[in-house]
Amino acid sequence: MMSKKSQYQKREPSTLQLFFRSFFQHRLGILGLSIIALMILSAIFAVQISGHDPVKFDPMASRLSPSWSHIMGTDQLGRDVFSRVLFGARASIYVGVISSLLATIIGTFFGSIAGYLGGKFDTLMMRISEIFMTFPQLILVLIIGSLLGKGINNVIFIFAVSGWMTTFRLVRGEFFSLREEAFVEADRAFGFSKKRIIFRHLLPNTLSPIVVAFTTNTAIYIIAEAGLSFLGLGVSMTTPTWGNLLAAAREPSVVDQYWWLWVFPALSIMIFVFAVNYIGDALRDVLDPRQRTLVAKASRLLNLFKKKGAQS
Amino acid sequence: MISYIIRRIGTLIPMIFGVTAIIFFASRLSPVDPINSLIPPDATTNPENLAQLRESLGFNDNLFVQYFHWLQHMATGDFGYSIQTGLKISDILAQRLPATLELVLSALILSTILALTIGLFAGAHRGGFADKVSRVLSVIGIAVPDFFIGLALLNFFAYRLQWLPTGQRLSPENITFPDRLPHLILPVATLTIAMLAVLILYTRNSVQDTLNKDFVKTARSKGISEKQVLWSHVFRNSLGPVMVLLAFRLPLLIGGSVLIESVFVWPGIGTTIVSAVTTSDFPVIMVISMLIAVAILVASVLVDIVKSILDPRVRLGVSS
Amino acid sequence: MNLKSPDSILELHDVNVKFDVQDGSLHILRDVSLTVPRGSFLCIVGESGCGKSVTAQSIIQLLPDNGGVSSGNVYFNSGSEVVEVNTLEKFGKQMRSIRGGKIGMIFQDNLSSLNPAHKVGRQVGESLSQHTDLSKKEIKERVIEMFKKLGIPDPVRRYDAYPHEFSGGMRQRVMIAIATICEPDLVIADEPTTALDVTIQAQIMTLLKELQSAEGKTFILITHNMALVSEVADHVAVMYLGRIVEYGRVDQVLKSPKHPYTRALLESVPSLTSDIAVELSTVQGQTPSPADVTNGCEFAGRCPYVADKCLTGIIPLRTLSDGHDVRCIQLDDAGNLPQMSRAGSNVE
Repeated sequence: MMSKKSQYQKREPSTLQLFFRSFFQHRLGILGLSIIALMILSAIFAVQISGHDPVKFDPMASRLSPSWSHIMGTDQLGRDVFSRVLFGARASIYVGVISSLLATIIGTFFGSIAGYLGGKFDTLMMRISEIFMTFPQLILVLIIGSLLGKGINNVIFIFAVSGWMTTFRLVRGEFFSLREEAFVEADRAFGFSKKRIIFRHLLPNTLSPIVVAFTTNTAIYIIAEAGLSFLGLGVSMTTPTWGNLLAAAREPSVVDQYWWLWVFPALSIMIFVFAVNYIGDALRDVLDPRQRTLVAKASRLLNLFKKKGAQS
Repeated sequence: MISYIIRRIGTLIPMIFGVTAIIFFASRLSPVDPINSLIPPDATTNPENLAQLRESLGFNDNLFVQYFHWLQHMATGDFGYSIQTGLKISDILAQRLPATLELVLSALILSTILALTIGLFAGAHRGGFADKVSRVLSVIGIAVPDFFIGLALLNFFAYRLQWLPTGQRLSPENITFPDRLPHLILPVATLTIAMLAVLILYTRNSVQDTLNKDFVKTARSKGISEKQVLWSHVFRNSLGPVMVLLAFRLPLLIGGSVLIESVFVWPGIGTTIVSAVTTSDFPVIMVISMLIAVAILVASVLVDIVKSILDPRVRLGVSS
Repeated sequence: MNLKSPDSILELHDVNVKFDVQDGSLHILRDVSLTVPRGSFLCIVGESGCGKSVTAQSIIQLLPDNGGVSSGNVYFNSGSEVVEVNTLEKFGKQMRSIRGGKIGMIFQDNLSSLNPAHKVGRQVGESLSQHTDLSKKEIKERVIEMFKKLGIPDPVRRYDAYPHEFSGGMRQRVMIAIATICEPDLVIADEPTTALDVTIQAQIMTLLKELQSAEGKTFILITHNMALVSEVADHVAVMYLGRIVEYGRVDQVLKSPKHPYTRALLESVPSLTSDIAVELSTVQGQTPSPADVTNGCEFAGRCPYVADKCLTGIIPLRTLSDGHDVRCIQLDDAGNLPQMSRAGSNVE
C-alpha cells in the first residue's frame, strides 16, 4: 500500500533542472549547441587558429587552391580564405544575433501590448505589420539601405525594422489566447496594472515561442546578410563577412574556376544555420510543457480522445 | 460569394493608400530633388525653367496635395524619369518586366505544382519516399541561401558539364521560344528549388494536420476507401492554409528573384532595382517598390477569394 | 464458431490495446472482454481516460496510427457469418464494408466531426454511395427522407447547407444520419451528447432509444454520464483504467453495484429522489496514469477496501451468484465486501 502511495508523491524536479535534463537528452540540440560554440570560439581566436593575417596581401600567392598552408586557398589578392572565413564569422554572427535580438524585442513589445489590449491599437498594429509584410523584405532592406547608407549598424537597424512582424504576430496570438485565462482574470480582479499583467505575468508564459522565434530569426538574418552583401549592398566590403566573401562569386570566372572562394563561406553559413535550427528544434521540443514527461505525454495522448466536457 | 469578393476588395483600398503614402513620404526623405522624378533630366539644367516647372507641377503645394497629385501620375502610368539613365521609367519597366515575370511566374507555377504533389504524398504517407524527399528538400531550403543554389547549379551544369547556358536571357524578338528555353532552365530551377522547400513542408504538415482531424475519422467510419478519404476530405481541406502561405511567399519569391537575377545576369526588375540602389536612382526605386507592393496586395486578395471557394466558412466570416 | 453465445452480435475476447509513445508503449486496454447480445443497448461507462473510447475505436479498427490491438479477438456476427474484425486489413475492402455498412459510428464533437468544406447532404450520402448501388437522385431522396425521420426541419433546403450553419443538436442529428443511413446492425455512439445542452441531450437520447427499439438495432453508448445510463441501457459495462471492472444487466449494476469503484461512481451522481441532506460523495484520489499501474488491482490506490492481496498479480473477472461479472477479489460469492480497511473515507 505504501508503495502505491509513494508513486503519487515523487518529488518533482525544478523546471530549470527539467529543462537542462531534457535539452541534454536532445541529441541534435547538443550537436547544434556544440557547433555554435565551436564556431564562436574559433571566431574569437581567429588569429591563433588560422595562423594568417586576413588582410595581408600577397600578390605572389594569388588564387591558390586549398593546400596545407592555406587550407581554404587564397583569394585574388593572395589573402588567406580560411582566416577571412573566421574573421567573417565575427561580423556575420554579430549581425545575425543582434538583428534578431532587436527584431524579437520590437515584435514582442508591440505583440504583447496589441494582443493584450486588442481593440484599436491592435487593429492599427496589425495594419502596420501587414503593410510591412507586403514589401518583399529584400526590397524593403534595399529602400531603407539606400536612404541610410552602408555600415554594419545600419544593416542591423534595417534588418530589425524589416523583420519584426513574424514575432509580433506570434506574440500577439499567444497573448490573445492567454488574456482569457483564469489567472489573468484573477490579476485583473486584484487590480494589477496593465503593465504588470502584460510584462510580469503574461510575458513569462510566452517565453518559449519567443525563444524559438529568436533562433529562427538569427538563422534568417545570417542568410539575409549574405544575400545583401552578395549584391554589394550590405556591410562595407572592407569588413570581411561571410556574405562579402561570397560576393566574389559575382564574377563568372570565380564561379567557374575558383570554387574555394565561394564554397567555403557558403558552407560556413549553412553549417551555422543548420546548427541554429537544431537548437531551435531542441528548444521547441524541450520547452513545450505539455510533453515534458512520459506521464504528461500519456495524459496528453488520452486527451486526444476526450477533448471536451468530460469532467462536466 | 459576390458580396464577400466586394468586401475583400474594399479592404484593399486603404492598404494601397497606406503603402503608397509610405513610399511617397519616404521618397521625400531622400536626398534627391523630387522634381527629378517627374521631368526628363535635361530639363533641369536651367534654374529659371526649373522654378517655373516647380510651380506649375505643384511642388509648392502642401505635401498631401502633392501626394494625391503624385498618386494621380502613378495611376495613369506616368512614372517619371530615371535620374541615372534619363529614360522614362515606364519604358524601363516595359523592357525589364517581361524578363522578371517570365522567371517568377514559371518558378511560381512549377514550385506550386511540385510542392503540392510532393507535399500531399509526403503528408499522406508518412515515412514514405515523398516524405523523405520533402525532408531533404526542406533542410536545404532552410539552411542554403537561394543564390548559393544558383551558384552551385551554375558551376555544375553550365561550367563543368556545359549542358546549359549560364542564364543571360535572350530577348524574345527574333528568337524562338525553343532557342530561349535553355537560358531559362537554370534560373527557374534555382528559384523553384528555393521556393519549394517551405512550400512542401507546409503542404505536408497541413495534410498531416488535416489527417488528424475528427472529420477524417468520420469519413473513415463510413467505410469509404482511403483514396476517397484523401481526395475529398483531406486534400481539399489542406489547401486553404497552403493558399495563405502562397500569398505570403510571393514577396519572398520576388525578393529571391533579385538575388537570382544577379547570379544569372538576368535583365529583369531585380537587377534594375539593385543598380538603382547602387546609383541612388530614387525615382526608379520608388516606382518599382510601389508596383511590387500593389501587385502583392492584389495577389493576396485573389488568394483570399480562392480560399473562400475552398472553405465556405471563410466567406461567411465564421472563425474555426 | 468462436462465439461464446450464438445470440451475440459482438464479442471481445481479452482484447489488449497498446499505444506507441516516444519512450515506449502505453497499455491502454487490458484484457477487455465483452459480450453484446443482438438488439441490446449497452452502455460503457467510466471516467475520462479509462479506455472506453479506445474500446469503440478498436471495434471498428479506427485507432490512431500509433495504437493497435496487441492481442485478443474482436468478433462481429453479421447474422450470416462471424468475422474476426481485428485480423482484417485496416483499410481493406472487407473492413470497409463493415464500417459504415454494418457498424455505424457516432462521434462526440459534432462540429469537428463534420467536414466544414462539404455540404451536409453530401456527407451523409457518401456512406450510401459506398455501400449501395443507388443513383445520385435516389441517394439524395434517401438522405432527405432520413433528415425528415430524424426531425431535421426543412430537410430539402438543409441538404445543401454547411455544418457550421446548423445548431449543435441539428449537427448531432446529421451525425446520427451518417451512422444509420445504411441501416447497420450495430451503432456505436461515443459520448454523443456531451457537447450539447441538457434539453437537447434528452432529445438526442430519446431519438437513439427509438431507433434501437423500433428497428431492433444494437447500440453501444459510451458515456461518463450515469444518469443517461439508467434511462436507456439494458446492459452496463463499467471501465476503470483500461479494464472492465463490472458488467451486467442495468438493474444489477445500478441497483446493486458490487465493485467499490462502481459504488463510488454511483454515489457521486446526484439524484432527485435522494434525501437532500445526504452529502454527495466523490471518488477518492486521482485517476493514476496507465503508465504507472503495472501490478495488482488498478483501483487499489483509491480503494477504501484495499488489502495486501489486491496489490499483486492480475485480478480476474468473476461471475457472482446473481450472474453479473465483477473484477474484485475482496468480494465474497454473494457480492458482499468485507469491513472497510481504510478509515476516514466517505464511502460507507
